[in-house]
Amino acid sequence: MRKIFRVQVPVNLRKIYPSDTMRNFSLFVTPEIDLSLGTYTFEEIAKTVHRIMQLDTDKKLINKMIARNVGAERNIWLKNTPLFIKSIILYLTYTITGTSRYSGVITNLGKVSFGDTDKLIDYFVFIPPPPNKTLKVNCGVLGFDNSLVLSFGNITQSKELERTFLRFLVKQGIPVKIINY
Amino acid sequence: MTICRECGVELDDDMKSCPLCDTLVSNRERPPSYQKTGKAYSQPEKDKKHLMQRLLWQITAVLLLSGVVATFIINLSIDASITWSIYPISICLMILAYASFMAFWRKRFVFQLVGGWLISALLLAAVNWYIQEDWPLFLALPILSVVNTIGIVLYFLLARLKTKGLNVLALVSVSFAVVSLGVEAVISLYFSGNISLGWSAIVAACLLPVTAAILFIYFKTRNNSDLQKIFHT
Repeated sequence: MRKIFRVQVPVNLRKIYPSDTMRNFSLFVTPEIDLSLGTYTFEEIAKTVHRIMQLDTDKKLINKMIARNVGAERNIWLKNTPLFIKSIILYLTYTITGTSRYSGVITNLGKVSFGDTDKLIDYFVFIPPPPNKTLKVNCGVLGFDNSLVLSFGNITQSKELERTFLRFLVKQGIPVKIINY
Repeated sequence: MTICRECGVELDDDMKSCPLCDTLVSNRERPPSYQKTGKAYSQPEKDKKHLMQRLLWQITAVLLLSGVVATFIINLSIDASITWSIYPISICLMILAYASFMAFWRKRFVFQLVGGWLISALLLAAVNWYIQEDWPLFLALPILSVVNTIGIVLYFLLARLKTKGLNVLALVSVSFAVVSLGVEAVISLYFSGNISLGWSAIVAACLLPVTAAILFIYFKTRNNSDLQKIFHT
């Protein structure tokens, strides 16, 4: 069986399309590696993810993605289908297949700054919504005051993912601190 | 500043052990973990599942037995004997038999179905003896057998699927079609002595395009990530 490791990364569209909306104005890019091709080193994974992120966040491709998403709404058959039927079908389809199409979600808020108020804040943590039963683990990331703050959501008893990842960071010489909050 | 000697991460001042590896900060000893006690990772999940099954069974049993008692009393008070209430009572008891096997018998789903079928067959034989008519054994039991057989076949097919998605819905849809064909075949065989298909053929014909549409969507979307991109916007 062909196994793909795929992570869903949201892209903040405000950087591409200037907008002041407070709603979740984002689309998703899914960098992936094919596990059937062998074992990947960190450098290979980083290179793959970097290139896919660069390629898929191109404005033309984002335009294409938005056009495709909106295209379904313009379909005459879909337009005239009652909303409650569409809601049921989409809900069922998403429940069955939606989250099984990727291995995890990383929500990255990017660098957060409140200007002069930063010095009054001890630390800033972003806690993502709990992961669902299919994915089991997710991660929220933000940058604040020269620190990258990670917040893992995990509904399993295993801490293997967090342990492996944070130990890897330590081995790379990156100081890691675990805090209670 | 406290550093975990196993992981190398810095810990908060008030932490007594490392959250990643459970190594104690004070005496630097690793406490016995759930792995060493022999308890499986998923044990709490299993316990929760069994607890939920017992709870559902209790609710089902209360509802079904209430129905049994209510119909029994009404029938007895109106007719002074058990006449029509034998039908809802036997249906309720059959459902209870299946629910009990699924809630308490920790075997494979197929064995649970067969267990429920055996108890139901005995119940139908008892009804057959009580009302002195042949339909419980020659009509109800074959219909129940058809439903059980197709349920078992569906279970094995679902277990063999490598990826589960809309193909599950397609299989369920086909199963409904086969069940309706089987049920009408049994009914026509009982009443007229030969197999003639009418309404079930219409049901199967209606389910065919639905199944085809589901399979089309499944095969079109299984190798790309279009769905997630659509549903997350």
